[in-house]
Amino acid sequence: MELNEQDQGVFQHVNPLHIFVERVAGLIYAVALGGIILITDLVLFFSGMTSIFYLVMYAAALAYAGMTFVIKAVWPGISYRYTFWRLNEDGLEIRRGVFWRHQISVPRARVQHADVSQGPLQRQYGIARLTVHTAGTLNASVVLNGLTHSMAIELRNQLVRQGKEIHVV
Amino acid sequence: MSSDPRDSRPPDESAKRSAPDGQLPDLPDGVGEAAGKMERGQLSDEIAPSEDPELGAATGNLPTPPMEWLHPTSLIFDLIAYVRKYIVPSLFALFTAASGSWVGIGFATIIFVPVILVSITRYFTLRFAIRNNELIVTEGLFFREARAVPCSRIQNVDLVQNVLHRLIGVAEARIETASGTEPEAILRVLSLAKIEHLRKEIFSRRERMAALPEAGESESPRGMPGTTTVTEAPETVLQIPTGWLVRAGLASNRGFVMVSILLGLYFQFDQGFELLENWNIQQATGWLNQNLGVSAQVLIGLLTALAFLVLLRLVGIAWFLLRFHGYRLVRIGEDLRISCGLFTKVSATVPVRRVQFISIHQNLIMRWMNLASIRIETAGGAGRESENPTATVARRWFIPVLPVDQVPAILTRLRKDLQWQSDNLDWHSLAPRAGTRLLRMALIQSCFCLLLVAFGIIQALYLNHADALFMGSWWPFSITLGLLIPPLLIIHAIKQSRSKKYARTDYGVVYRSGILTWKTSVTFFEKIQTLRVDQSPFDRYWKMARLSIDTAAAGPADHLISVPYLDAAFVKQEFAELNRKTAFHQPRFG
Repeated sequence: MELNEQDQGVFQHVNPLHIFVERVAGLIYAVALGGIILITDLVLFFSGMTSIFYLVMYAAALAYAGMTFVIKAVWPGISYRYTFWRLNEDGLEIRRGVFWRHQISVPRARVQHADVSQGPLQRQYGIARLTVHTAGTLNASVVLNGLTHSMAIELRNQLVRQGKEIHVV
Repeated sequence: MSSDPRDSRPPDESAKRSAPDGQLPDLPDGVGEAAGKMERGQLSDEIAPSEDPELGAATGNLPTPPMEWLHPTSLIFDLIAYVRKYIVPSLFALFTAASGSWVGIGFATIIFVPVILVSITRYFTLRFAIRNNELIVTEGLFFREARAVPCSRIQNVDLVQNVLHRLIGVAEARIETASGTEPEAILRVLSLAKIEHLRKEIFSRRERMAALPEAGESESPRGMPGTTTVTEAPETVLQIPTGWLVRAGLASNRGFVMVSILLGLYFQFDQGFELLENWNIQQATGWLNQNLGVSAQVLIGLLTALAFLVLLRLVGIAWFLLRFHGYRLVRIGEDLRISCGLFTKVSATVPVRRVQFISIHQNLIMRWMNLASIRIETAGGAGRESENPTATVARRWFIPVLPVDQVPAILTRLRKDLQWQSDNLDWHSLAPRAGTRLLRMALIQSCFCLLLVAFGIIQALYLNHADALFMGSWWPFSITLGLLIPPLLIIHAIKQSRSKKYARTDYGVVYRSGILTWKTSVTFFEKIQTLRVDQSPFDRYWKMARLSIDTAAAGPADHLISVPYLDAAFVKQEFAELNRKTAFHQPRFG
């Protein structure tokens, strides 16, 4: 969802380091994928599958890996520009999505519990993922990835502390 | 909000356990904790009194209720329950064993012996009692499992009674809490007197515990102390006469569902051991082709189709009569209790405070007859697709059939602030251009259908040369289909754009949708869990958005509040407003 001026001050981006972390993780994946495809191609090629058809297939597989590489390098930056969150007295609101835009709001009193988790790469750069659980069915857990770790902890504490004394369903 | 013990999470339960209600703590504290967490194998012998049914006597002057056993016939019913659960392999085992082959007997042994052993173990190890305001159920031979369910958390003690149960005078009791999809405990089976006793014990404790903290809360919306509600005489709210059920059966597609299930079973068996191999339809049709003229064949075909339709409706009626015969909705205190069933009797409680979602359904035939059915969703009732009898009755089919003009009265019973006048609501239709958009989609789809027509024409013209291209002579079918579908698509698009409506009221949100089957659903601000707006690239082009509202236990009502093709500006404003309302209306009572 595009933000207009009045929203700009209230909504926040996640930590920009998240772009870097996502990019590195994506590129590692793309390189691994490319490596596997390349090895498979070479093995098949030298085992005698050298007709035109096979050569085209090899090229297509390699092109796919290359595409993955480019997308993984570019996408985190684009996706970052369209991800916002805000916490106000009503609750947590998240907006994300480049083509398909989503906007989810979790009122404070509906938070059942919240987790903060980190992958190995994220731990290196102090990035974390916040998962907010509600008693709902379809959006039973709402994820906000790429927060600064301390910020994620702070958010979790704020969300959980308030919801504690109230019935949730 | 004051903290209420019903709300406390397990770590806080010690506070509740010491509630001064005169109960005698006959369990050591630590054991209670362990039991509360349902840990396995940590049970000390002191609270596993399977060997000391005279525990109550041993403790002398303390009137501790002894741990109770299930009814002796439980052995049989347990076995039946298992066989029903795995009906296909069980029947297979029985048939193969009956045929006398050693393989079959071995197979049956493999299936039945463990089940029998499990049933026997369950019967001889399962004990239950109410102690310290908790229902305690212990079970298991090697891995002892004890679960302690605080009475305050028990929502329902539901009852299922099939014919055999009724002959013996027993029933299956299902203890339900708000958590999870399965009943917290199933006591299969108990004598009716015992269940009634258990029910009374649990509910009186629950009310007593609920009354304690609320006494100080003067502004509590339901300030009346629970103890008075227990003594209130049950009041019949609704009884469904057989005539309504017959009409509901006529209107429903239940027969179709049942027949397809039967067909599915038939094919399963057919593949299993080809019992019905000699049932040869081809022979019959062959005979028909030889001995009758075309018109007679068409007549027979039509009659068969008609008979099949009548059969489907009859099956539907039979299903409704079996399930809901003698339906009675009774108010007891604040809760509603449903009892119904012809052979298998079900008695289920609806915890009115926990109703999350109310849905009124009317299919085409029901509308002709001015009937409706009401479904509800309660927290913890989000059963999976499986239709266990009590969930089916209490949620999926809260009220299976009701004249439309009686709907408002019933809804007011569910919630006092729900003054149902669906015509007076501030309905918002879809975005003005939604009709155009849907129509355009239908037209694009129609183009594909016209492609089908074109292929058919080509095939018809060049049939001789084209045999290899288009298999066989399908052209009459493709042309008819291609010409029939586009109008239907267009009608559907127009109807769809007109049928969806959304409204916000003082208490919550109402959504209506459906072309043939109208579904109108209500949820309440304090029951809304999350709000969501989605916009696809197409939505952005058309300046529209989808507004979705998530509640707990969504599913049984078979309707979601997710409104597509709304005007984007309206959605933006509505989202903010709903956000504010949802945050403001906090869930007050469990």
